[in-house]
Formats: sequence, structure tokens, C-alpha cells
Amino acid sequence: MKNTKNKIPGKISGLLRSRESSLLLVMILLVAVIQWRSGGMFLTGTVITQLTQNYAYTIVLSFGMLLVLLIGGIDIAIGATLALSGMSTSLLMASGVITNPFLAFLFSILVGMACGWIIGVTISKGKVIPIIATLGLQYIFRGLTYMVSGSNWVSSDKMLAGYKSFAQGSFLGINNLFWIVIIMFVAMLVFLKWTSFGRQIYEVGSNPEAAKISGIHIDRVKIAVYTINGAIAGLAGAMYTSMYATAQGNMANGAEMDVIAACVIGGVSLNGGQGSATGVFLGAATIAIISKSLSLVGIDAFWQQALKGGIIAVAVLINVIVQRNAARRALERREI
Amino acid sequence: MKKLIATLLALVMVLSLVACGGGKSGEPVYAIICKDASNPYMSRMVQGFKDACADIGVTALEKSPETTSAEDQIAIINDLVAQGVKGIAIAANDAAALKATIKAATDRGIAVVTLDSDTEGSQMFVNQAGVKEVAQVLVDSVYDMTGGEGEFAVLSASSTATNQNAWIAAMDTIIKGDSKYAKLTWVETVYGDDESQKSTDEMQNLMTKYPNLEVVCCPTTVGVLAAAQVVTNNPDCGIKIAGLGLPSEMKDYVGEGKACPYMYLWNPIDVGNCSAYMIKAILDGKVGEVGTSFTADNEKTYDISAGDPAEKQIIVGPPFQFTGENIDDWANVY
Repeated sequence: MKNTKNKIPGKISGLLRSRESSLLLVMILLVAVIQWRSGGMFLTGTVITQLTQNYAYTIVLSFGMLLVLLIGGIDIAIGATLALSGMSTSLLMASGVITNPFLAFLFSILVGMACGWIIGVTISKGKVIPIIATLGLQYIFRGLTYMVSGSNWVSSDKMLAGYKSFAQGSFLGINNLFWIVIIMFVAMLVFLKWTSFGRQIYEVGSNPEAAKISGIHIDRVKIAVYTINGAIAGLAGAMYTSMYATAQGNMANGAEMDVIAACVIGGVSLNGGQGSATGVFLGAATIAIISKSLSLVGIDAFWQQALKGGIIAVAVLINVIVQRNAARRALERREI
Repeated sequence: MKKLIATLLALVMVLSLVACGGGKSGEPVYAIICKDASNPYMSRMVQGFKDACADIGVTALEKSPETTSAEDQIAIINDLVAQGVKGIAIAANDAAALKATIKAATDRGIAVVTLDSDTEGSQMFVNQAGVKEVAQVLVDSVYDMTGGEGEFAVLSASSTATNQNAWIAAMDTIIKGDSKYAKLTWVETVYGDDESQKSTDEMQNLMTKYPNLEVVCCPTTVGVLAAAQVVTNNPDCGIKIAGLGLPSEMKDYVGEGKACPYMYLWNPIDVGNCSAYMIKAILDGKVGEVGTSFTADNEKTYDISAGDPAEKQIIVGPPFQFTGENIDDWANVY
């Protein structure tokens, strides 16, 4: 039993490694085309800094979504969780309750955690399928955001100076928000590879029945994963509001679509059990590069959306083909 | 005995049904439909609408879709028609899609006016400021901030936004029609979709693409905020922001020596207020042909001009300038 347990993840990660290198190749190609079409405007320090700062929260959200997709779930409420946590934090800053930027980030994470926990309990204990549960809770969280704010925005002058300057500041030449991305990435790598809970997440996603028999509390894993994902969305809410120095009720509306696309491009299976932090990081970076560069290469605004969708579709298609071939090869080997 | 109880029960039922018709305490109902539930600008419009309804003596009802979708607005209009409201004021999310639904409402004698954003089928567009008037102040802002010559760009909302496209087209006509503006170079029009992330991207990309850019004109409240924030974080870029913005949101960025020296907007409270009076005027039969004028119950006289695409339109008033001097006062209002 122990033997097979060790073998399967080994095979999976080997398969993913090859997929990640192909994704990296696609990304380099994409950057090369953009660099050429934009007349050399893309690969500059300024543009890269802008990109890492402007898309830091999207990449962070993708790591949370990775965990959820790994257990075979999905969370389309992350945009609403982000909005609710970012908005409630900003409101508390505006009313003078929170006076420390660090506490503001912490509070936002706690609100997100609470949202995630509610989602987790609804899905595991309420036995509601994830897409429906998060569809419903998305409206509830978004509605709550409008309610607590009275449909008003929280403007820049009502936020703490330290909170706003954090997002604009940098350390060792790297923007503070992107440091969060780097720390999250390393934490995810370690968590998924070397902790027993990280391995349990893969097991629950790839074979729930076997996981149950081997003594894993599936419900507990699910609730924990959705809670972590909520905390990450809460963190992203603080990143968003400090970056743009504004909290708006409809902020990050539809962000979940970019995030799910990032995961799928990064090789995460929507059926659960397959995906890696490296893949998701590359997938999210690809989405960020596409979004940032479309207007830089002078593509007409009416075509930008369609082209973005086209690139995502092609990337996913490549993934599906690679995946199918790998599965067939694995099957052939087994038959021999 | 049983018969008596049955008769009594039936009577109660009939009476309660009768009581259900009309609004609170039998007052007629005027409804307002916003673009989406979250926009503070729209909330002020609703406030003005409700104030006017109270003065007229009707019940005000607010219904807004979650996101800026025309489909949701169609469903809301159908509900309101079924409820038997007397008038509807709507900020349309699409210039054409609502036509059939609105026609079904007007066919039943309901007065339908559009405010903020117009759509086909509307009986009257309550125009916050004429397209030409807005375009003129925007072009003049650009002219003034560039010092009469230089490069400027426009950062708009979505590429399909009715208002913004009309203003942008009118700006183009004004600039081409007067040799005074001959030295202004309009480098590009970009669309931030009224999202912070996209607007920030577009603003930064404009700065990358056009190193000599002097002014970015943003005829949208989300865009102007994002653009002003980008400029504030890059104080050396020397770009000035012109446009239409919410005073409370722009407080940090408006004033001499700041990202945005001055900006414009109209008073949304007045727009909402005026819409309710226009519904009343239509229902009272006061609104005549295009080219005539009438005095509404708020004792103001309005000229009726041909609407596009609405049947008729009136103009609430000229846009209002916010500067470093008055921004703090207005920031408390909206």
C-alpha cells in the first residue's frame, strides 16, 4: 500500500514536469511575438514592473484556486470574497477602527477565511456541488459587499497612507506585491510536495474512495482547502485595495474566470488530483502577459477580448492533447 | 353558519385583492432602474429621484441589476409593468436591446424616460448635459492643459458605452471643426472597461507608447480615478489628467500641482430629480412637439429637442467644474 502511494505521485509529477516545460516554451514564444509586434516596448524594466504589480493579486488568487481544483472542486466566488474582504477592511480604515496597515491585511485575510469556511462547510456538510454552492454564495458575498458599503466606494483619502504606499513600495528592486507572490509560490511548492496535508489534497482529488479507505477525513480536507482559498482571496482583497487605492463594490467582478483560465493553462485538471504550483504560476503569468500586452501591440479594442479567448483556448487545447497522449501511453504500458 | 363564514372569507379575499392594487396607501408608483447596484453615482441619482417623488406625492421604487447587463434590465421592466407602475426612469445598459420591452410598457400607458444613458424606444432622454456641451468642456480642458499644442489620448470606459462614444465622437467633430485646435494631436483612444486593473494597464501602456504624451482625457469616473492614481505614483511623467470624475473619489487627485488640475461632472441628484418631474410631465400631457418648450412641476422650463435614439430630449443643465478650491466641499456631497 505504502509503496504504490509513493509511486503514483512520482509518476504524476514527472508527467507535469514535461508539461510545464512545454508551457514555458509557449510563454517564451508569446513574449517573443509581443516583443516583435510592439516594436521592443514590452521587455523593459518599467513594463515588467507594472505587470508584476498589476497582476500580483491575480497570480495569488490562482494559487488558492489550484488547491480547490486539486480536490476536484471549484470556487467561482473568489471575486466576491475578494470584494467583501477588501471592502470591509477599507470601511474599517475609513471609520478609523483599523489604524495599522499590517492589521488591515490581517483583517482582510480573516474575512476571506470566514467566507471560505462557509463555502467549505456548504460543500462538504451540505453536500452541495461546488459550482452551485459557490454560484449562490458569490451573490451573497457580493450583495453583502454592496450592503456594508451602502453602494458607495471607499476613496483614497480615507485609506491609511502606509496601506497605499505598501503596494507602491519595493524591496531589492522587486515590488512588495510581487514579493507576496514569490513567498506564496515557495510556500505552495513546499506545502504540496513535502507536507502530509499537501499530499492528502492530491489523494482526495485523484481518488476520493481510496483516500477515504486510507483514513483521510475527506470533509475536513475540503473545509480546510476552501478556508485556505478564502484566506488567499482575502489577502488578494487587501492587495487590490492597497494597489488601486479604492474599494468599489463591483471590484474584481469576473476575476474568477481569469484565475480558472490561468490554472487550466497551467495544466491543472478540472477533474482534480492533477496540477502543480509551478504550472499555475506559469499559467497565471501567461494570462498577465496576454492581458497587459494586447493594447501595447496595438490590437483594436474590439478584438482584444476575442484574441485573449483564442489564446486561452489554444493553450488549453494543447494541454488536453498532451494529457490525452500521456494517458494513452500510460495505458499502453499497463497493458504490456 | 358555514355559508356565512365562507361568504365572509370570500369577501375578505376580494377586499385584500383590491387593496393590493397601486403602491403604498394607493399612491401611484414611479420606478427608477440603475445601470448596476454598486455605482455611487447612481445612488445619488436615485436619491434625487426619491426626493422629487416625495414632493410630487408618488411612491418611488428602485430596481437595479447586479451587473451592467441589458438582459437583467429587460426582466426588471417586465416585472414593473406587471406591478402596474405609472412611470419608469431607466439608465440603459444598451442602446438598442431594450426597445421592444420599453414599447410594451409605453403601449400600456406607462411613461418611460431614460436618464444617464439613452436607449431606443424611450419617450424622453433626460440628458445630464448635452453631448456637445460635455465634449466642449473636455476639449477645452485638453487645450488648456497642453497649453494649446501637444499629444493627448482618451481613456474611456468600454468600447460599447453609449455616453462615452457619443462624447468622443463629438470631441472629434469639435477638434476637426476649429483651427484653434489644429496643434492638438489625438494619439489614441483606449478602453479601460471601467475596471481598475484594465484601466491601470491602459494608462501605463499609453505612457509607454507615447513618451511625449501631455494629457489623458478620461470621460469616465473609474478611468479618471485609475489614470490619476497612475500619474500620482509616477510624479515625473508630467502628464495631466482631464475628464469627468466623482468629487468624493477624486479628492486626493484634484487641484493645482496634482495629477488632475480640474475636472467636470454634473450633479446626479439634479438628474434623478428632473427625471421624476419628466415622468409627471409626460403623464400630465405637458410635453409637446420637438422645438417647443414647457414648464414642469419643479417650475423650470425645458426646451424639447429631437432625441437620438430617444423620441425627445431635454437637457438638465451644463456640466460643473471641480477645482482644488471647491473639491473638498463637493467631496462631502457625492
